[in-house]
Amino acid sequence: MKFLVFSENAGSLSQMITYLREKGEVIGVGVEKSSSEAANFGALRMYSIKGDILSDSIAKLLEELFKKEGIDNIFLSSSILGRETAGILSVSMGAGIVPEINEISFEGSKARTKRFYLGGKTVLEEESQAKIFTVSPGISDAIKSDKNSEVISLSAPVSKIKILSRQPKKSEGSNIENAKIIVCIGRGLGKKEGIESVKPLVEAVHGEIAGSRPVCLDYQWLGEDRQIGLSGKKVRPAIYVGIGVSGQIQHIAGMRGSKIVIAINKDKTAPIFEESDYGLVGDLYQIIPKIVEKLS
Amino acid sequence: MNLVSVLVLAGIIIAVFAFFYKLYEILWDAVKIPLKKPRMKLDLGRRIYILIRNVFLQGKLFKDPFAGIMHALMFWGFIVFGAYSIDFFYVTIFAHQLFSPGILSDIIFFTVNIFAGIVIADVIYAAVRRWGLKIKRYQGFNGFEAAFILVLIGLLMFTYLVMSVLDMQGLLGGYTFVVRSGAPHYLEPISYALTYVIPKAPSSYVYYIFWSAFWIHALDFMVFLIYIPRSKHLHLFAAPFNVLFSTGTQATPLPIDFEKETRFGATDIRDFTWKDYFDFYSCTECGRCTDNCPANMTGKTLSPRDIIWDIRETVMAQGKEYRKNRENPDEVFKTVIGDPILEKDLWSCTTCMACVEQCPVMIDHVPKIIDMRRSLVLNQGKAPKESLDLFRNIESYASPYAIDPSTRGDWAENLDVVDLSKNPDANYDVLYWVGCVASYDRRNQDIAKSVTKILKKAGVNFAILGSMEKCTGDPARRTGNEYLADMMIRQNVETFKEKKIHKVITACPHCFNSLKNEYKEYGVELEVYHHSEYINRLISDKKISVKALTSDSSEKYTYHDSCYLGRYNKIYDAPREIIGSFTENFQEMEKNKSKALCCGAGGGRLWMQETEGTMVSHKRIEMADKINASTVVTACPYCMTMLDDARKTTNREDKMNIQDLSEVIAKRLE
Amino acid sequence: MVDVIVLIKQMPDLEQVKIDSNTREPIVKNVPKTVEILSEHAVEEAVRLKEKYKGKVTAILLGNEQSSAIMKKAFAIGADEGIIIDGYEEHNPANTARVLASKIKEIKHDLVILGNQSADSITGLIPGMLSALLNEPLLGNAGKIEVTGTNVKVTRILEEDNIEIEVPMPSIVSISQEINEPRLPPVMQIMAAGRKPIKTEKIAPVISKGVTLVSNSAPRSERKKLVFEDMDKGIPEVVKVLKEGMK
Repeated sequence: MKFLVFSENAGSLSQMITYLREKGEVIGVGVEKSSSEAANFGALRMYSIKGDILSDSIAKLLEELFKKEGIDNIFLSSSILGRETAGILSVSMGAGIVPEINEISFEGSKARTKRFYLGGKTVLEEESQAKIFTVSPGISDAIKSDKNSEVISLSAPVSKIKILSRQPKKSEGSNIENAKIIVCIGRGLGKKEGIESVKPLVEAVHGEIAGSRPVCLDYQWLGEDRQIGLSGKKVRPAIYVGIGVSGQIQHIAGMRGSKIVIAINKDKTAPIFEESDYGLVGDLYQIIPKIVEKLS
Repeated sequence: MNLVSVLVLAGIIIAVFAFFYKLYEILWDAVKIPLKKPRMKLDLGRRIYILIRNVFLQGKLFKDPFAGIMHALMFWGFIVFGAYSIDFFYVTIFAHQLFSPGILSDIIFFTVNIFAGIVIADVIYAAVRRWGLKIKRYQGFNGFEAAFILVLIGLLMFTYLVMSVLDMQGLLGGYTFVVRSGAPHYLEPISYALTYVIPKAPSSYVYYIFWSAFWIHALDFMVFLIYIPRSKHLHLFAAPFNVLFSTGTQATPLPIDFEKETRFGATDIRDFTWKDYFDFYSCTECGRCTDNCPANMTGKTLSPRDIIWDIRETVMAQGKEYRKNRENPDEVFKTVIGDPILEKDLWSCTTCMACVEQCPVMIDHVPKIIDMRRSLVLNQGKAPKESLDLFRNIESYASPYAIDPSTRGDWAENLDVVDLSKNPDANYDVLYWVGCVASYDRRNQDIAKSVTKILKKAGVNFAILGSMEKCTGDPARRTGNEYLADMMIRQNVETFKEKKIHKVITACPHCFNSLKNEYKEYGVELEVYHHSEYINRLISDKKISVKALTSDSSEKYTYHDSCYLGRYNKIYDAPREIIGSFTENFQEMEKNKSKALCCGAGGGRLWMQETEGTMVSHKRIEMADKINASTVVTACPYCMTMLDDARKTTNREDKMNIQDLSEVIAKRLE
Repeated sequence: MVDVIVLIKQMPDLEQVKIDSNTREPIVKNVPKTVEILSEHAVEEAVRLKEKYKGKVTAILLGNEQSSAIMKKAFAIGADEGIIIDGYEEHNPANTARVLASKIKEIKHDLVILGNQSADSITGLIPGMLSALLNEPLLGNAGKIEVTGTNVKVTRILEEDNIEIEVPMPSIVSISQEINEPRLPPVMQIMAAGRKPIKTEKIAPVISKGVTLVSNSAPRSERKKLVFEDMDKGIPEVVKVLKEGMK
């Protein structure tokens, strides 16, 4: 089988290539940055799009490559751009589409996929003849291959949309998707000042601090780019430490890929304990200093 | 009639006319401006009682003892001086005394003489408090008005004493008509004492001294009469009526008829009642309300005094305009919200009623604040962001939390509690109304569990409504969303009627206050007990016995009064008696009972962020820490939430515990 | 003048969806429907555009008679007309887009505004599909919308940066949550909304092909679930794991 894989994000692109390279031949498509960074993950060829990228022109370009390369399936990362492009593409190609997959296997031309549904409460397993898939971030770890992809530069067709200006985002520079250890705080912290008590632990484990939806969106104790969950970032760290995180399903859907989950919560019936490897029932303000002390 | 009589008569006629003309204007405003109707009942017994207690005996003033005694003496001095003044003018004009010599006259002259001295001392003391000691609650007061009135009062007393002393020194000769000439010395003890201090004036000066004193005295009185209704001293006239007219239901906001009304709450001065107008006229900027306001105390700009005063000024200004321009009321009456009253100040209020409790003239600040919140929410859809979530949750989930309402009774799983939503035909004597916070909040579920344990131990046959219980509407009502509150109340009333519920016990003072006092207007009479009352009775009836604290225990208890239990419902003793049932290791915090400091959560504030100034709950925790309390006992899930948070964020976890009354008792059941 | 069509999505209230403990399948029956939060922002934005540029706001909702409460909320915020398309019960994005597009084609409009995704399935495919079906350009994930003459200008919020983009109308604009704060409608408008008629249009059932459901169930956790209440045992264990992980 032959797959066309597109993402403007290097991390997603290399994850998708890693995941799919065992299942068939992979042709990568990226923007200048993502294509060069994802060029050694085992894709046969890597197309690098120059200039502005907008969903209508990317859709056209992917459709052309689909025909030219004799592709069976197209995979797009489920970013803002990826989802829009996938929607346009499915109509223009008249092809079936399955969104947000986090697992796929093939039986002949039939694809068996899994995706979250009902806000992460359930997983839908579906069988389809779909040709287009959007892929949830973190479908796999990105593992380099010894095969280097041939990078081919090309320009996207002209878009109907005019770009007037660009404003770079002011970001705290969070890097929670790539962090090895994530310390995630939840509503159970009680107060914003409680972050000061958590910081020593974050430093001791050389980790990144993240938060649940209420912490990042409702209370704004942390920036929005540190939110883990279905509506935030999906992370797969080696260790996830949840502090005062109750374990709402929307949150679990964002950290399910973690290798080891540690939870600290005073409520022993908190659902997070069902989703953790190690749980400590007790007051976080007493437990954290003790852990920090033993770590140093 | 001589020239003096004619001049004095003319003067007094002008002054009386000026006095009543202003009163007429003020009352005209209250009558002619199309106002809302207050909740009024005849209630004669209560009215006579509060009139005697709060006006004649100056009852509410003694909450601030120093200022209270001063004011009471000034007030009583005024009354006797009033009698004296009538005599003074009568004798000046008609040349014979109104009170002919006798026992009544003796009493009047004796008390007048005593009070003349007291009031002068008072005036000096008042001046020292304002300009010398610079007492905080007078900050922002109208300095000129205060000084002017003190000078008027002082001069009135001083000139009286001058005339009286001249007479006693036998210098007055032919001018004796204004004083009780020849009265025994013991009837005028102050004047008599002064004759020992003040030397006799040379006789050639007596004429000038007397006539100066006389005219200053007469004119002073006239100016006073003209000035009173035109200044904050209008309270002299308005306050007694305000006390007499007080509704007794000021804690319950006025109902709204959504079918008939088209503008809601209070936006401009038309949206108050005539009783509210008496509130405005009665305010004399004493500042007791603001001084006791938890928001103001913690650095927020909310000042209940300024809110009342700002509306009063607006009433005075727009009332005057309306008297001239009655054709275009919408042009005349402009909103008071935004300018002069800040929106954020309206949202800072915790509805704790400390201001209302403290106000000597029985002004109702809180319902006005709620009415202005209503204006914002119901007419303009304006509310703090967090309260929009609160409204959405109450609407969708019948509680302030976005939690599946079918899980409301889950805390009682495995506790063998009768849940009427699952077992509709069960028999029970009392309904335990759990409330949202104790149903859903983990920490507060322990309260529900403790109440259950106590009731079971006492053999009380009780049931809960489980998923049929809904928010009482209190948080919505107090945040101005009467539309939503109305909806919730109606739904609950329906349940009460359908289930034929009469007797209710609850551990939440907010639910307690709603069910007990506010559901009546929706047609359901309930016998409601707060768990503090109920548990206290279980203890005194020996239905449960409580293990005493060992005498060597180092535990020290204190009790934090909930506003909705204390000031709203006057329950101060039951919680203390419960603690007293097992220990004497109890100490009151600063600010307790009717003066208690709020936890900061009432009025919907539990669901809003407190960003301005410092946190009210931190201030309260500091008070508990000051007396080294090891356990702060609460009787309200709101207080529990706030104080437990405050304990943690101020790093007092190791030395202090917050426990609900039910928890301390459940742990000590024998 | 800008005529806006705003698309409202209703979905089961996820808070109230329970999982059958035996089959692990969701219990969706009898769960009340709620409005997807982004749709509220979309209605708010449509009404704000109307207030700014004049014009008409038409709301379209896939639902049934029970959906009128959701439509009335849109009226209370300020939508002028409301159409409920009754009969479509599928959750297949391609079909959803097709049903919506055929209705949109009948109505004169300058802008179609909708949320960029919905909280139940989070596919985010509808905006792109509508754009292709209607042949109108898509300005996606807008944090700000402005109309200048016959053009619409949008601040598109992306992961790395924000870009300002412009096209001639008509066009599709999908919005992100930060575009506005939906208003709390005044009571008088809520009451007036209750009296406003809603158009309900029945359509023949649409059957989706191509995708077959194998299962829909809550995932089981495969965690170790070693929960310690005794900190003297728990803390050393956790510290060991953390030290291992830091290597």
